[in-house]
Amino acid sequence: MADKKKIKLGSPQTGCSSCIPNTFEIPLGPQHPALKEPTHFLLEVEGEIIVNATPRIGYVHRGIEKLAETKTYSANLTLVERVCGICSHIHSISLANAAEAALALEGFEVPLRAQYIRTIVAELERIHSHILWLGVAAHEIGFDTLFMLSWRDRELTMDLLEDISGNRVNYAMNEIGGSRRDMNQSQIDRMLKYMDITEERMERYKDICINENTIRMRTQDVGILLPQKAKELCACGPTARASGVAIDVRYDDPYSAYGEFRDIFNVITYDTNDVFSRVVVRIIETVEACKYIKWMLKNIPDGPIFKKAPRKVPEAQILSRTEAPRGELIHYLWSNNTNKPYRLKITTPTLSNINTVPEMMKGDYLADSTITLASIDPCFSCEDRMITIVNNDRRKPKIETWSESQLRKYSNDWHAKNKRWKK
Amino acid sequence: MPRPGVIVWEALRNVFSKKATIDYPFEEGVKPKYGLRGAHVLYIEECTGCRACQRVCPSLAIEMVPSELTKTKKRPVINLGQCIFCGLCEEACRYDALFLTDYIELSAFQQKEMIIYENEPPKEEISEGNEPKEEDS
Repeated sequence: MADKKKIKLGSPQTGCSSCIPNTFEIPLGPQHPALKEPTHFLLEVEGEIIVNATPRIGYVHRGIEKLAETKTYSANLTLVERVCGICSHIHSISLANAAEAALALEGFEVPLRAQYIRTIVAELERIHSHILWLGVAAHEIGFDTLFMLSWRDRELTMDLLEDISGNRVNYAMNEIGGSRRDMNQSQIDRMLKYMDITEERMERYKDICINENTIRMRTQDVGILLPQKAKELCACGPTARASGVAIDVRYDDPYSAYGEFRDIFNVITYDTNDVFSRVVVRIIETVEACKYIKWMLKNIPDGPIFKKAPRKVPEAQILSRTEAPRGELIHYLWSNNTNKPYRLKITTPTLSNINTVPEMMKGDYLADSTITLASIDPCFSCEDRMITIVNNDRRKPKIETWSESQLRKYSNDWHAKNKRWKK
Repeated sequence: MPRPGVIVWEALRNVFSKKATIDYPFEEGVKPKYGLRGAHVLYIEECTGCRACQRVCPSLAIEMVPSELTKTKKRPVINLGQCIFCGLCEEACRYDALFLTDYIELSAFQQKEMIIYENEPPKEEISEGNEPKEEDS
């Protein structure tokens, strides 16, 4: 596969070297039919082949971290759920884990049943996120039959989530010190029944994706990310696992109830390093998630689901790692013995995975750029929370950190120059 | 081994199977029996105006306005346009005055329509409204 890539890169140069440039620049985004959210890729193409790609992010920065400093912890749980529309529950688990770890310094413990309920909802969320991604990826390669079928099966999981939490998207299930809603026996029976159906369907999709030519021809040998490069570029989640790098926070550093079934946990990896490998890894992960949910439902302990936590969180700096459907999610919480966080820093998986996209795109055809970009399951509005100032010349980006006075001067100068600009 | 057309049978079988979608405005949507988070209901006779709901609201959707009906001379006004339907106000209310219902068809033409319990109900209506209910039960 590596040889094939080299052959592609060494293709004959097009055009006359004196008058026509060898490469052309094509912008992909910020508004593009292939993108669900705004982002920008500057693609340098040589004929039909992409030579270089430069990502530019930051179109949907919303200032959630600053807003989190003004709200109490229980209000922040509902706020951080709004970071991502699809993987919302895992954000609130992350923040709750961080705050509870700080409270554990004073001997606070969360009931085990609450941890199980959190983990079940997180795994349900992973199932619906992966099936959603399968549909989107099938749509990107023009295979709409699979898109329709997989989204129909996703509805079962969405119904379960609505039944448990009362909402289809932002569940608001967590509270500092436990879970807000309990599960009764009829819900558990229904979940077991639906998980059987989902598992059977996903086995079927695995069969389809591995055997169907429509998917194989569009995804094999496209978007290759070698394991060495994946490690260098800090890939995480299914993107890294599809390159054969066995990292999974659920297994490496178990949180919530993942430590209870570490013996039966499998870290799914695949070794073809291309988009096909990412499809297979995500589908097998969904099948595994169904198994974990069934194990947890059978072994869920009785007891309270909530323990009232003190309102003030003691002073601590805590890094909370969780495995979101897209990869490793990091919440860094700095508490200062008040009921509001002093600082909350969120790093989402797409931010580390976006660096791998130019590497994947190099040497591929322009028409494959959309499925390559979709293969990391990008979520651009999640990742946009960095404040850096980059030079105007995109080819040689130089990142500087400015002080407040420098920023103020820049702002004053800019407004003096652009007097007619209105807010 | 690759087998072409694996999904063709799957697609053909679905032509004759039951419809997966519903004609929503004409047919009722599927709702869970309980636990759905929709528009609020406020029993003003139970409310004491303790401001617990206002303090706990993450999106600042609840505003306290002066009122003659409650103990503390304040009552909540809820802006459904700002509400995120997290249900924290329902849990915070100690007097069982505020509930979330399963009414979720909340689209409106004007922002004003999204503010509920804006006008104070007259005192007489409240007392009259309660009596027939008790007789029925």
